[in-house]
Amino acid sequence: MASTKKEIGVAPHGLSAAAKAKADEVIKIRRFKRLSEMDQSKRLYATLLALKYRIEDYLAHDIYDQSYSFGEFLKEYTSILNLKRKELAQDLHIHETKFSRLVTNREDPNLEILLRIEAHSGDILQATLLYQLLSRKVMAHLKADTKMKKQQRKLVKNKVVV
Amino acid sequence: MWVVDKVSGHRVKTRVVEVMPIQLKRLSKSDFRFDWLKVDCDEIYQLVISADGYILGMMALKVIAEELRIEICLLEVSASNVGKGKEFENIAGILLAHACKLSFKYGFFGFISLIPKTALVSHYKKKYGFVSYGTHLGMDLERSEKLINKYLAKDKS
Repeated sequence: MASTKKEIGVAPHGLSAAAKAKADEVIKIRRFKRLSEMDQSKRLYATLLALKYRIEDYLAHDIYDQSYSFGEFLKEYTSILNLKRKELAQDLHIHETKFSRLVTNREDPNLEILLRIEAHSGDILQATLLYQLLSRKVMAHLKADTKMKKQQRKLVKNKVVV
Repeated sequence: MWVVDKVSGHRVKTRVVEVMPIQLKRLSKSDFRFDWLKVDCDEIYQLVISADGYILGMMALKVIAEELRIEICLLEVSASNVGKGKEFENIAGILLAHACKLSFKYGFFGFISLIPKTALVSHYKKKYGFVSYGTHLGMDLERSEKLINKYLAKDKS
């Protein structure tokens, strides 16, 4: 019987209202204690993980959302670290002007920059994940930009006839 | 994320979806014995097989923002996945890991809690890494991340 119960999951707690209130009070006190003992590095780590999970969830859906552009990511990353853009640009060995172009999505990062961010984030935000973020934009661009498509088609000779 | 077919050993792709109370009316009573319509919670999730939407498990959560905590009020694995003849493994683990992931995304540092039956306390501690917070069991940070990495990995096909 015990093994079957294990597999069912979490059953209704079955406590009286008073017992539940007492149990909730205990966890509340211990939770606040744990939070007060949590140092800045753990908080930062958890916040970066949350950013990673949000990106993963976005990538799991077949949509393009500008609020998940690389520029927006870089803004959020800068904000989480509580750095000025100039400071993060220096950390990543990127010229401030280039960094600004990345933040405003006027330029896409190369693979080297993605690898630098991976290293800078303590390997939490992996280059492969950031590349997928970038690819999502490129895919949307390829699908949507019909003007560019037409222009490029005009340059092609001897198209394969199928 | 994947569940493992007990007979063939094959992995089957799944996804977790949030459900609205109205959708619970269609829940098969032979698959789920708890009365999900009466659950006092903030969010309900289902683990379903991606290909056909077949429901493998259910989880109800209470979001206690002032304590930066998610409480798992109820978690149930479908009847066909309980006991020796069950079809798939990992259902409860995936749902718990999903709660951990939500907790990180909500800014709660991955903290989740639940109140288990006394006989299951050691099972939850040993299998999932929970620790005691009085009557509640809970976990956060590294323990939650470990659970996410174990059950929500999506690299293999």
